[in-house]
Amino acid sequence: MRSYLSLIPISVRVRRKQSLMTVICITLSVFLVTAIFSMADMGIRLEEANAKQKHGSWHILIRDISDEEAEEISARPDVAAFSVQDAINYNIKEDYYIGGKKAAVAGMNKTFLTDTFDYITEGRFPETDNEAVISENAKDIMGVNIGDSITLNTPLGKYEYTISGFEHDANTYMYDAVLLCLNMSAFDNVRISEGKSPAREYCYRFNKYINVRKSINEIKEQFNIPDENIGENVVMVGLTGFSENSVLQGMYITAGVLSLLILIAGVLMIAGSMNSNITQRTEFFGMLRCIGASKKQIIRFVRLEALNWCKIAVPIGSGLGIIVTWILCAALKFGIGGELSSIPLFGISLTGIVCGIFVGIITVLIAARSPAKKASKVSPVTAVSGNVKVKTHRSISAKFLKTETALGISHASASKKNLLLMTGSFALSIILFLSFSAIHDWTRHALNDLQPHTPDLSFASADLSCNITGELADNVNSMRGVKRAFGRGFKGDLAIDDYKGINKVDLVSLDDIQFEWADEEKWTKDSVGLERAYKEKNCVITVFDKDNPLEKGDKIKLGDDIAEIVCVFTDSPIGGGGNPTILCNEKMFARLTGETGYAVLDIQLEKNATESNISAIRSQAEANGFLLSDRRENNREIEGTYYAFTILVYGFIGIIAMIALFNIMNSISMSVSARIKQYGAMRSVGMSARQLTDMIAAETAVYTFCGLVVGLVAGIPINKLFFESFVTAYFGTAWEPPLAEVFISAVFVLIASILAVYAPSNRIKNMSVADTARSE
Amino acid sequence: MDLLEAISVSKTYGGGDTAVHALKDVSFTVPKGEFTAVVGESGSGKTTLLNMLGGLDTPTDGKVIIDGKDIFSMKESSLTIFRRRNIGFIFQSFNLIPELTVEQNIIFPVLLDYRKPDKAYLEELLKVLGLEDRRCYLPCQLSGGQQQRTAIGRALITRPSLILADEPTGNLDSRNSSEVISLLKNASKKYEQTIIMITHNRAISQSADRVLQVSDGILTDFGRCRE
Repeated sequence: MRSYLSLIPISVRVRRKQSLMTVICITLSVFLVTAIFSMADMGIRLEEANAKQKHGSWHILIRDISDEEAEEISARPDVAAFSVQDAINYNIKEDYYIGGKKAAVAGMNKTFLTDTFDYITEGRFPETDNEAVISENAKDIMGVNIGDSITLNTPLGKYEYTISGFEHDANTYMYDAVLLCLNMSAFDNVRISEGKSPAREYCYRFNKYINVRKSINEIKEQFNIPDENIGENVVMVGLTGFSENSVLQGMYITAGVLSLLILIAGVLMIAGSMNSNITQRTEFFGMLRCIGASKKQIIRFVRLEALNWCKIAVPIGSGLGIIVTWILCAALKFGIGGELSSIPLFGISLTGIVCGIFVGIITVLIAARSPAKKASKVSPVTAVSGNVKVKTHRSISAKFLKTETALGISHASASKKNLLLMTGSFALSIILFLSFSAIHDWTRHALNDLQPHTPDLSFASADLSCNITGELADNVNSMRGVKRAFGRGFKGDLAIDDYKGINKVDLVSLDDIQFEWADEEKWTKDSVGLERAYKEKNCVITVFDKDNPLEKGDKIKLGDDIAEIVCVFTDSPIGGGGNPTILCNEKMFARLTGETGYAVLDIQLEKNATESNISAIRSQAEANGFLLSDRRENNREIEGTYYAFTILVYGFIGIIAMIALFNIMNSISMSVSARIKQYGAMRSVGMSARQLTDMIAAETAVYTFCGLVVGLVAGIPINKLFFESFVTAYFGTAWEPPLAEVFISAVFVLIASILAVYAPSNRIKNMSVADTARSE
Repeated sequence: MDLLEAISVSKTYGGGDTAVHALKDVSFTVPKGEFTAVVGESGSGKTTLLNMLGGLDTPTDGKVIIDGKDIFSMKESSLTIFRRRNIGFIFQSFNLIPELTVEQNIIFPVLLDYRKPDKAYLEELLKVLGLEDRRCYLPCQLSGGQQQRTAIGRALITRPSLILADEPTGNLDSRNSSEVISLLKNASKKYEQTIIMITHNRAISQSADRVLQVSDGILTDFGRCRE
């Protein structure tokens, strides 16, 4: 032994059993933080990989600047990569064909196709003007290969190219067309011959670890670029942490708030367990003071003792965090797949580990403050007198209650600090639960494409005119592999008499099945209004949108009719165009527009639908001159994301519940341990085991009650805040008191309390009276 | 020369009707090297007096002067250091640190003072206390007498001028009691230390240089036995 602090490791070894609870608390905190931050890190890596794959590896895109300006921006030291592209017929509305398929033509530099977008799947970038890369689907459709010749037919001419490679762009599958990629000079030849003006888009990627937001503002200012000419790759900018996108900013705030809550939970949990640990060792600290330890030395002793527990708890917590991350990643990768299959399997997140260790140590240091002070304040007299005096200034009031119940309540309220800590830890579990349930609501709303209405394929006319006939719809409906086909009429920019600043609406018709889904999937909670819109004349529905001022009860003039808005969809898949959307039944749509056909025909496939079934549907669409979009891959991705989110949110709620349960049980158990001598004395003078249990139960009931009250009073406003900033702001659903969640948390806390009483009272029952009185 | 001087020390707990006067205007002096026994019934104020003398508790009134220093005029931090260096405590319940060996328990106060233990002195103490072959034992492996001897070693290691003992033989049988007392006396003689000891044991009080009795907070000096 070289210093008095050498006692700490010796003490930890010997008092392993007593320190176990504290070690478990620290381990749990470290584990949680490591797991959460590691998962977040894996999530970011996944998002980054997917974002690069899907949206390209760029941060900003600038239009309407000169080539010289573009070059000047690319020379900035914070720019890591720069690429350029231009396109003709990207919306496939004009008559450009390759091998009979609609085609879009794009020009780009090499960086664009090989770095900004990693799209080349085979072959190489077209270096010469007579070479081209073509979208992969051309292989199946036209049976072409690298080295083959293809001809681009345009309204004004013909251009021959040799295929130098293939690329994969999900959009071409969606729109059932091919994409021809040329180098810039070849593209310009076509563009000039076709009489198109240039529409260059310059993509820039910034270096890592720079303030992207600052760079974007500098560029805007320096080159006088208006906001509408600068686009951000929301996901990529978001991943740098400098997004201005409010959803992502909301995410950061949420992550911050949740981390803070976890930190508080950890502090409360550890402080609670350390406090009881100190209470049990009052005599020891008194003795240390007696033989000459100063207050500072005691504080240092307690802090270092706590940090010493970290030596065991931190590696275990971090290890557990890493393993759980691996398990979760594996579950997401193999269980859900799709978009999530690029999640790293055995990834080690340095951020997660560092955060875990950091939060673990910080939590311990914060948590140790109060117990350390408490220990330092122990009077040396306690060592001389040999017994710890519990100062009680009030006698119990057993007038209306049984003595044991009154004693239990008195124990709970004896120490204000202890009551505060216990209430805090109960309350925090409830607050965390309520916060997370709001986030889960967001997931449900945001990823609503999994609902029964979700189509697998869609037919649409290029200009969204209503020329898909009912006959064709019936035809498609009866095709093999088709489960159901349903259509919507669409009339964009329908003029109305100026009302609330609106003079144009988009009118959409709903068929019977869509009215059914609206009710079933709760696009609105107003089923009476929905029923009226379905059955009654001149009753319409509008769709909630931040920019749509129309409300229920408003009357608008549609054509010659005055239509009343009888219902508002808050959570529907339809709408979100430039104008406010008005939905009506098919009869009314036909009356107002004179159209009986559909603009969009959605198709749901049978589970066992084969590729040949889909080809047949595609031919049907092509034969009638419609575009077919295939949404299956997109649906699978959304499904994957939804499950991933659900697993994460429920996983987190599960962990919170586990911590809450553990914390409540641990707190009660430690509170009992601290008073076990007293209980022994009570038993020795005739208190029955049953009475003892009642006493512990009464004490626990006080904590539960206070915790529930504080938890609900603080948790419900947080739930409202989260709900309103995520759900109400984007989907319009109004916040309602989360009664179900309140009920669940109350029941959970009650069950946890019952379990918490059972364990220690059972322990005392099984100990002899003499042992209880003697035990330390 | 007096090592300790108590001047009109009073201690009152509580106030009003419930006020308890634990010590009433206690004054006495103890010369250097004297072995003083404090006797009295339970609740008479003996332990309160000892706490005042050791600076563990503050008097309501009066002064305690040790080695010429008014201990209650010192700041808490200086008092701690003063206590660490000048006063050794021995408790009835030994109060050893269960996870430390005999030797580690003894040197602990030196470590609290950020000093290195004097090895020769430690060996000497272990020899005097008869604990040489028990130095690596844990308290739970020792008899009551051995534990109390360890506690005495801990009180002596800093070479304090004053040793305060609160019923050090209260938990020991008669053989161990006399063994501990003679050790304490021999050690204090050897190292010129002043001992103030609370005891209920008549034999021990009779072997003391002087006996003080506390009764209802009032101190009576029974005088020096061998004078």
